[in-house]
Amino acid sequence: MRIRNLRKTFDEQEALKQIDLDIYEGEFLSLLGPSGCGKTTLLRIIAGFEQPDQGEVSIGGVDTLPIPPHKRPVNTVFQSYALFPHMTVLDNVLFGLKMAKVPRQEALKRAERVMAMVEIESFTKRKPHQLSGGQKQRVALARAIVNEPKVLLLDEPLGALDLKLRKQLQVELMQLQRRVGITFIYVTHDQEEALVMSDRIAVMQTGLIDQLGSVEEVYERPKTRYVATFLGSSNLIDGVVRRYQDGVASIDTALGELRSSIGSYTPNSPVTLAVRPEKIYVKSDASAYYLENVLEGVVEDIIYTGVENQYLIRVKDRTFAAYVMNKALTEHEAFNIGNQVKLIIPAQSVVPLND
Amino acid sequence: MTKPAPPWRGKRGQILATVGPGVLWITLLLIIPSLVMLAYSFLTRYRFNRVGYPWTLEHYGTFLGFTQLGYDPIYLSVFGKTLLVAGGVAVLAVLIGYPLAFFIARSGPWKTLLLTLVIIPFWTNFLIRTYAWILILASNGPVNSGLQLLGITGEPLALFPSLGAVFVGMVYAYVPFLILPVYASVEKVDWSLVEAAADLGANRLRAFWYVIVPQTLPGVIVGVLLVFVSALGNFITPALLGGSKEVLIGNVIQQQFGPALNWPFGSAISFVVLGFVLMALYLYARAAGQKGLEVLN
Repeated sequence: MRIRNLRKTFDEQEALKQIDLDIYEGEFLSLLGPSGCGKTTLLRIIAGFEQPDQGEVSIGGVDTLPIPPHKRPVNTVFQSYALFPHMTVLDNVLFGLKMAKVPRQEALKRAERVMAMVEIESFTKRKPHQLSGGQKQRVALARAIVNEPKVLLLDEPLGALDLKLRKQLQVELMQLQRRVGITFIYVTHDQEEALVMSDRIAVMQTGLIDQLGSVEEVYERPKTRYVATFLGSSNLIDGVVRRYQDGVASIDTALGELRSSIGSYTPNSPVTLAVRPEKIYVKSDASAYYLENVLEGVVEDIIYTGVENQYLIRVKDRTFAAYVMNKALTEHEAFNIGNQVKLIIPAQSVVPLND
Repeated sequence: MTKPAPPWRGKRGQILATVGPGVLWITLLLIIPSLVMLAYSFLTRYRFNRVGYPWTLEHYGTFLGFTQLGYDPIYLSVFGKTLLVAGGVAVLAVLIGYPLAFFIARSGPWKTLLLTLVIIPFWTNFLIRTYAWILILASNGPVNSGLQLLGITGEPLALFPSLGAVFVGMVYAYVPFLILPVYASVEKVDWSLVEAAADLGANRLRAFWYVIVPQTLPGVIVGVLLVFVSALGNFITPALLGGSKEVLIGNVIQQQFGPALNWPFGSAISFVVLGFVLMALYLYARAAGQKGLEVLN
């Protein structure tokens, strides 16, 4: 699926400024961004509910924009589920096949298979208002995939569910996608959800795709300030590149010299560096790490999340976040507020940003 | 397990003050007179419209066509015709009112104005509205003059009095009864379901049929019932627009209570009509189940 130079304006408000996107067959792609970033508009254009002002969309080489929504090889799982309230679960699932004039026997067979897949086969005779949120979600999913679309569009389908159910369904959705092999385009504002499920993530902001890449790429090598902070969190440090030699850059910052062994630099130009909190080591003694960046600081605050200790550490006039896994062995040290500590920042964890 | 206290415990005064007047009103002015009429319909009629014992089924027999002069189902045929006319009026009201209600509900900022235009005729007396149709349909009225002016007809058409005029008058009078409940149900339509239907391969027509029609059906049923029941008892419209030939059951009842001075027979016919109305309501309640009650509320 190809999207080129897509623009869309609502009442002089630019919803999509310029979207170029290639989506591969069978992949799980997430469109990640805050509300109002244009991700739902993009989804609705693919589904056919909106027409763009400009640009092209094609699926399997076929220009999709002139095709009305009911003839497109895509199906949508709506945020509000949009189940037909006057029909049973089974009739909801059968609706698409009925519209496609699939013979009744075959349609029933396909519906049964899909309903078993998403585990709703035990309440096919119920009406939507008799279902829980999670069950409705499964019905909406079954109703869409039973049509075997080329592309399945999911618009924050787990948004209305509680955390525990959401986490369970995230895993189920991911496994389902692998099993049926349909291309999933998944819209979400939840960065964790996107990380858990996707093959690739497109991080969106104000009508543009900031960064597109595999989950690891986008997380480990964020290109912009926005991606570095929206997807997970990052410590940002401004500086000027002093030297760049043999793949290692020395950057002058307010905290002293920092070295980075990742990305490319231009000497004598300003740069913003991003460091993920969990990549920082917190030690009382850093003498064994003299080859890495070492900063000295004072523990200002500790947030205990169970999984980790999140230290807020004052280094000169800056506060650094550093997350330390809560483990019993492996040279584990625990600190208290006011302790003097050393921050060890590996050169390969210092990522340059474009802006 | 202890039994929960009934919700009205210790609130007798409040309940009496709120529900009391309504119950009193309905009992005094509806239930008691109805029971009196029911009793009348089973009593023997004597001269000068006096009634007395013994109890009799004579009036119901007359309605079914058994008279002293032999079998003549004239009243049954009038009632049958009335049912057909009321049904026809309801169908026409749906055909005209449903699209209109839909249009109004979807017309954005104009909604309130259009809805007011639908309601305004109610502020005019029913008789006056019916008389207006006499003028409109008269042989020298605007309809006939218009047709002649356009050269469609040479001679004025006999539009009035006729059964057609009765239909026109009733549909005109009752169409708001259909528009208002349908409008209310169109307002409540979940339009995301239409998108969902399109997404699943339904074109506009099928999305309408499978998604919008079921969602607006409760409003249509309520509207049809209102129109049908109103049309069933109407005697003014056929009297004014139908001429002497087009007699409906409402006219027969009115005659019995008026010039014919046969109250027991009038009561008997009224109860047959009432029986049909109750049956229609029962069928509706059964078909719509609990959902219908929600709509009525």
